[in-house]
Amino acid sequence: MFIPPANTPDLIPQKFPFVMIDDLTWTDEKSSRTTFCVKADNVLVDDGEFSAGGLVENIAQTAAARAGYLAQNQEKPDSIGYIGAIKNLEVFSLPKINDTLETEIIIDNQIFDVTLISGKVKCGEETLAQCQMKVFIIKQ
Amino acid sequence: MQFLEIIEKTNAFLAEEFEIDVEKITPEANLKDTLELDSLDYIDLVVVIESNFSFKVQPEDFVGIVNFQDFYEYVDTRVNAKELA
Repeated sequence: MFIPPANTPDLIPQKFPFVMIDDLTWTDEKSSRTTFCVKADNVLVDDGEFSAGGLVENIAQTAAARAGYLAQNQEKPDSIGYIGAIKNLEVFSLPKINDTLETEIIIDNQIFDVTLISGKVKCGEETLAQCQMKVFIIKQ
Repeated sequence: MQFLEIIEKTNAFLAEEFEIDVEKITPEANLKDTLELDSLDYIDLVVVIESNFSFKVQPEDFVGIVNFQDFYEYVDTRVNAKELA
């Protein structure tokens, strides 16, 4: 059963001002979802828009939040995720300040110590970006 | 699955996955150099092997695989072991 964490940023190794997720809203065996509101003072906002790099980081941190949540619930040592590779990145549109992003990652496969994920960022019904990532989860 | 079938199937998915000319895949050609594999590309290689041949690959399986002939023989051994089970 999914219990929303009290403070999602505590689940990931990134700290202010490089936190690009607000809340982990769902996690199950195959997927996780986060929300994030683009603020004007975000370091990855440029000319009123959240950058493509920010979108990628948002997807990566969604994966990291999932790893942190699962580790916390299993009372295992914290794990840190490292992005090994990004593949098939498509950025369709950049979100604006005050847009709320909903990001979903799906676990496609687990090969050795590498998790293959697909990530998609949406704002309302519009898909803003999607990609595949190879993520190494290293136990601390 | 016949050995020739394994070769044809392997060459097809390797050429597609790694975007190379299938003519470059010859039995004596070096696997790593021909496909320009880095460490992360091996993950993609494992994914296509497992999805095409339905067996689990172990990291140690790649020890001793240098050229494509080695690779075909490895796949053939694993596929036939699966079929006999």
